[in-house]
Amino acid sequence: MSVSPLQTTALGKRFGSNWALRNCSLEVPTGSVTALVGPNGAGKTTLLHLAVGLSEPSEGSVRVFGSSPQEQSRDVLPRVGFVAQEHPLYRGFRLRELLRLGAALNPRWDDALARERVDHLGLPLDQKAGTLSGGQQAQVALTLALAKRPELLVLDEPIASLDPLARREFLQSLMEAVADGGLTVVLSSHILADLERVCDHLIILARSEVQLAGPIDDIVAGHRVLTGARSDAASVGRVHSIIHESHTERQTTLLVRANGRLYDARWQVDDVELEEIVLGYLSGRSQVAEARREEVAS
Amino acid sequence: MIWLFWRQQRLEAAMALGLLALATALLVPLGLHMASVYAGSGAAACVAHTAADGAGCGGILDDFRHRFEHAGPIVPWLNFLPGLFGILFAAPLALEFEHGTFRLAWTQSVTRRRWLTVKLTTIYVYGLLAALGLTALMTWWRQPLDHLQGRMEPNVFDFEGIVPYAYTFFALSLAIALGVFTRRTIVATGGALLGYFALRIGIQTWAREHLVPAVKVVWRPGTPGPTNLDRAWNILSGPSDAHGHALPNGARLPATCLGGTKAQAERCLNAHHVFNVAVYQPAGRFWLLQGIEAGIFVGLAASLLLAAVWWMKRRIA
Repeated sequence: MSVSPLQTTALGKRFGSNWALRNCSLEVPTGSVTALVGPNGAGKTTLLHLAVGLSEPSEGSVRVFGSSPQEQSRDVLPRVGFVAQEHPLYRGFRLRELLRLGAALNPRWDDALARERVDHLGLPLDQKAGTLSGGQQAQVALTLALAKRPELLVLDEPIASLDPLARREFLQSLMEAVADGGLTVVLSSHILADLERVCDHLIILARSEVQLAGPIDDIVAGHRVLTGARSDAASVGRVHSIIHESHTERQTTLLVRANGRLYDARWQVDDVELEEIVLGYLSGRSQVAEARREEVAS
Repeated sequence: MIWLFWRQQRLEAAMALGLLALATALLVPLGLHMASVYAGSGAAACVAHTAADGAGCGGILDDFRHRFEHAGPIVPWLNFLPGLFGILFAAPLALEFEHGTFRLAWTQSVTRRRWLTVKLTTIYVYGLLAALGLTALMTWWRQPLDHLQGRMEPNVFDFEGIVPYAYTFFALSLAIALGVFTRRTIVATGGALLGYFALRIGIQTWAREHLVPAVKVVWRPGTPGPTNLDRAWNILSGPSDAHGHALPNGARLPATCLGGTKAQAERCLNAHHVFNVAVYQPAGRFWLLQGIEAGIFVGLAASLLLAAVWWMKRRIA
């Protein structure tokens, strides 16, 4: 059994007195494409920076292929491709020079792949990076990361700043790279839309903590939405986990992570879309508490 | 990696070369002219004490002094250069943090330590090469004047020996540190230029003459004073009381002494207890003062650099 491309144990990162990430334990399986989803400021970038060795854990540990990305960066860095938020490039460099940079800094650099991708994008090698559109810059940044021939590819908000067409093209490129095999991908996003087609695993990060992690199929299979006459959900909560509850005057709706079979005559039980599950986790318990308070007040 | 860092610094290197070329274009014709006058007028022989007796060395040297003492009015402006070299070569590193491209650089296959080592070495080598160019130009240009007047005075001392390298090193380190801490190029470059001048002016105005206690000589008018003032840095000279406290302006010299022959005036001044004082740093202390001043700048620069490196290794993500 090979070691996990990315594994964290009770990982935490503090900036001053604020915890950007706490108690994060997760394992990314080899060959998976994992979406790291959460609102802005949830700690996604912090987690990814820890994973590629850009920053140092305040507590716990992070292992990439079994090694510490900071202390054993010599072993880790050649195996990891990273595209930072806003896909930074040296603006004054021509594409030719960016490829030369990649070749100079990476022993496993695949120049043929890099040239082929740039050619495929229809970009002349003489063009300066600063004159590219946002979508093209993202593609070039992805090219630099892929030509490293990484085993783990980490992308921080790769599509956030792109228009819908560029988004689709970027994800298309990503899927092609994944199809070539041998690649594990972790990408973060504050929106789930578009990612569902690409990803098979999901990590939901909110309020600096991991709320849910696992294969998307299992997540979808394990959640149900219950609808019924307005009532207290306590009896459901004794067996299953209530992720989110909302009430109208006459009706109560519960998002539930089922513990085994879920059957209750008082509730209508329905399958639920991934996007709704994510939204349920992101809005989380604070809203549950709020809903309860409103209930008491009325 | 050498190629990469050259590629990132080449615009700045061209600008530094441009500044040096400008200084060269202004000073070389003047320097050639001065050197030919120095040799042709016999001043060189006078300074080397190889002139024949009766060659009129006093007059020749006075002529030469008058002609070239205030030559090169751009020289004080060249004090900008070490500071400009510093911010020019440090700017690409500050930009790296402002634009976030350090995240691209630090996630390639080379370790951060190696990247930093090569990057910083490149920056400092370029900066110090530029300082070498400036020092060589100034030392060559000033040669006759250095023989005649020494190189202790401000605007001479600052361009020769080792201090130009120390100034450049300091400006580089300050710009790097500000760039690393603030991640803003404009703050790094503007702040570094400001800090560079604050320290330069502060040290030159208040500190340099006290780095080593200056020599103070008090003598009676008519007796021989110190003989090594020609090439020294004269901080103070003029009439004084018996303890060497300078008399405020000439106005308080007894008016009755000012007429008459030199001998009469000297007798009169002696009778009024007026002395002469000279406070100076002798030319022989050139390397001592250079060493101390360079040490101050290098020490500060090294501290800034260490703090910046620590910050880059531990705190920046």
